[in-house]
Amino acid sequence: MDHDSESIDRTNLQTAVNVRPLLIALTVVALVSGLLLILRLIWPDWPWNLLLLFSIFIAVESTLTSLWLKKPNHFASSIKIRGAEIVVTLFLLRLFSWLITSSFPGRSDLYRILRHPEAVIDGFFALVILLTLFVIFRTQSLTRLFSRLSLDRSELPQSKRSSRSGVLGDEYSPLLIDRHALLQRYYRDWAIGGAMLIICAGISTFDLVEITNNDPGVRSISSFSRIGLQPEMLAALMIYFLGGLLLASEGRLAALNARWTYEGATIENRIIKSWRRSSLLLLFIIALTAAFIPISSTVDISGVFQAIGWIAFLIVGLIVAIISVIYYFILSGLMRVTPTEPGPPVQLNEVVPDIPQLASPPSEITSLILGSVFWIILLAAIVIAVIYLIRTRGIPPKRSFSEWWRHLFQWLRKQWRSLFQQVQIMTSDLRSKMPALEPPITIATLSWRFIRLSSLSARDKVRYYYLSSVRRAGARGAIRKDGETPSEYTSELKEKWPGVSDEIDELTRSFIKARYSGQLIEEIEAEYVKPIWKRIRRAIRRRGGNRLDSDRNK
Amino acid sequence: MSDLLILAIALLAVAFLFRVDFIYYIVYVCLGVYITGQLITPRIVRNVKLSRLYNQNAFLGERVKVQVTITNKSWLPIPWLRAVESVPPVLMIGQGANRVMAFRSRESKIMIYQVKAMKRGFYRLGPLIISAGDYFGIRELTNRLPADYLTVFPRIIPFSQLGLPSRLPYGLIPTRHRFFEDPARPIGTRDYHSGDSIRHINWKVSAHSDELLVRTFEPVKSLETLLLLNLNPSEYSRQSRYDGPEWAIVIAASMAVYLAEERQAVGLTTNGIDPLGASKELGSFSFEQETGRLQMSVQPVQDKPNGLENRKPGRKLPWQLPPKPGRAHLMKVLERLARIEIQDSVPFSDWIPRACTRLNWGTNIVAITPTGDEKSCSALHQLVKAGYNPVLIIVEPYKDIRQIRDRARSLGFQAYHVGKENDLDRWRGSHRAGRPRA
Repeated sequence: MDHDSESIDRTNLQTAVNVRPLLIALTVVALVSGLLLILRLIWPDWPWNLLLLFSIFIAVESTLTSLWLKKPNHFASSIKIRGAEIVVTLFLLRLFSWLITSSFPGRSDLYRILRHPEAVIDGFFALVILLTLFVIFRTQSLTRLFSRLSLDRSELPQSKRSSRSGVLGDEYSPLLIDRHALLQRYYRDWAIGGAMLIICAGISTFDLVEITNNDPGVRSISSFSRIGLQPEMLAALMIYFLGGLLLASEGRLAALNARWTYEGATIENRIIKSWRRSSLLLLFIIALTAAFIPISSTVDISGVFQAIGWIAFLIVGLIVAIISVIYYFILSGLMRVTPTEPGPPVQLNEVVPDIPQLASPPSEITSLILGSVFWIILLAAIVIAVIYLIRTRGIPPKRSFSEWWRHLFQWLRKQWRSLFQQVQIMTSDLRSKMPALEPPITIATLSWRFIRLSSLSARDKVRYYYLSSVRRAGARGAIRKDGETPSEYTSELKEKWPGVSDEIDELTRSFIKARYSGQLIEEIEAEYVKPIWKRIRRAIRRRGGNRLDSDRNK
Repeated sequence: MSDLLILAIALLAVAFLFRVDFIYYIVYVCLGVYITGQLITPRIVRNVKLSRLYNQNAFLGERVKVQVTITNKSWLPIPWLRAVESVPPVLMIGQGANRVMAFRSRESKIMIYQVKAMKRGFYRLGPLIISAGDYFGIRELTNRLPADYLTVFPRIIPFSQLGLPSRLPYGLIPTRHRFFEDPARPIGTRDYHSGDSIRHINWKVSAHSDELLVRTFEPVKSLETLLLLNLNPSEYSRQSRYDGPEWAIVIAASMAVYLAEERQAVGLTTNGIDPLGASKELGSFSFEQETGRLQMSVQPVQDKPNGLENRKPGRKLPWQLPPKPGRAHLMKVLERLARIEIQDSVPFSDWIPRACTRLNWGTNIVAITPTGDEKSCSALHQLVKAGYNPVLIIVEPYKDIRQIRDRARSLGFQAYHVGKENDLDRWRGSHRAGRPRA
């Protein structure tokens, strides 16, 4: 069984790791380049050629990821990996497309994108997404196919005895995978891709700018002006078809190796080593020989094909017409419809439909919030995807990331603490430099408490206005004595703050009414007292600053 | 692959519609790959020469080296060629003959594998099947080298003596009994006695001495022996229905080898079935899948009113290899013994008279049979009367062998019991019966 494992590893490694991913990437990129060329001809201002580089990168990365997922030494979920791959790819693609079009969004664009996330997708990016997804899925499909062509250990026969027997068909169950069918499928897919590329090549020979700009209407193909086959398309055709044949050769080798290994054959090393070289040489000889065979013009044959197509179209149209006529007669005979005089035209009253009132557009803040949430989620998804992709590959190990995060958190905490300590030091210095400042609020004085004025009744509001003024005045030196009535205390206040005497009287009168009378205090009255209170408060504060100046002058 | 052809046609159609002249080139390449695969592969396979070299006979326990040579006679290289030799798993030693190789032009490679002769029989080696193809899977063809056959002889137990009597005047085996003296083997001289033949006087020696001296010759006996092997399974006991006939074959083979080494004529006749002969009659060979051993082909039985001729169609009376000297004849005997199969056949007592009709007078007939019943002994007695020299060898364990010996002695022949290998000690003794050979 060791020999079989060696054989599996030898062939699979040599063919899969070395050459196959590159060939797969090249053929897929060649296929995509055909489409890119068409787009370039239609929209020549956009940098489609640079997108080819990104496609190569994506194709190679997708192939290598598919091969890595096939290995048994990882425990990552392939669905998660694929999902993360697509998320990161689209993110990079957006950045790359901005880069190559030199259209990075400015501040206003960013603000717009923040509010309307869909604005990040423009026409160019939409096309690019489709092409990139095509590259990814096509590459994955091909890589998966070739991975299945390689022999898997689980397919090896369990009985060791069976590997020693040279009798064909003896105690061997059929291989689990029908590799012949897989190769057929590859050829079919390759043929379909080739046909697509040929169609692109054909389309690219027309002057597409003229066709799209001039709107020629219904014209035959022969009337369009032609610009010939582009060199890029020529290269794409060569790479696709020759690369495809080489891949077919690789697939054949994988299928044969699977069969030989399964049946216990001893395989010469020379076969594996020389297979690729020999098939390349054979293909080179055939390609070189074909280059010397004259290439004729397709005009005449094209005319024949067009004529055949027209005739077929006429025949089909005629058949459809005959069938339609027959159906008409059958149906008219069955239903016995007698033609009647047409009735008077129906007068339609104009009905103005009730247009429902449109909902008022969402406010800007709402769209900003929703957009922000969307972008936060998206960016978080991108970061998670990147971290997941990196961690599943073991770069860097999980442990260093946690340590990095811990170090960062500790550093931030340390910085905050030092900042807080500095603030405390500054505050104490300031306090020490200014001893004549108002004494700190002692226990005797009432401590501030947060009062929500809107929750108070009108009576309590008036009381609050007066009492807060009294407290403030007491902090400024005009302490109200125990047993002193509001009227008696008023004179002291007026003495200290003569500028607001009237306000003090008014406030005191309102307080007495609110405190001692049973009359209803309206809200209007509280609103009337409020500005009076504010003026008194302002005066008391000013009086405090004035007091500091007078103390300094002493 | 036909897909490649369909692809070329489809591409042509698309290219013609869109007038892409370069498509011709692509079509040429695709067609080139297709045609290369279609044309080259048959040529390659046709020009591969295959041969197999090995020793077609082997003794039990021997390792036979089989050498298969594969030669690429053409100038074209072969991308891959797989050679698989069908070898019975029971015989196979090591990995087997299953290789994939690449050949340059005019290159030759040898594939060697070994088989071990584990059990007597006629085995099939091969056929060798080769398959080759191209790089792109366009075509794959096979060719084959027909099977060859390996004969594994039965086990041979070396005898140093047999002690069989002989009535023939001359021979090669020296004997104590001075019944015959071989004039071709002078061993000395003695004084002339009255009655000695004048032709035996050694004149030269006599001239040197003053007395008449005659030559003395080594007394020898000549054994022309026919081995009569009874393989009718119904005459064996149930316990030894398989081992008994096999043991009988071992004894017959060992005797044949001994007699041949003693340059005696030995023959064989048996009521067992040679599957090779029967298969040739039927025109088909049947080999066991597991062991690769030739086995009897199945044929429906047709009832006929006659006696012995009323046997299965195509099966004749037991064949006979008449006694002949020489190694080549010994090989024939051993080959028959290697192939012989046990099957219901003619009863031994009925068969004995017919088996010995064309033998020379005085031939030893060694009857190897499981029992010494009265019928068998009577039949052997008839042989005594006819001038033959029968010897009865009983191969099954027997309780009352003395009775059989007495019976045999009274009927004029000897009986031996060789139920197990220890019973052969009398014939494997270190001393020899006669004098050293001249």
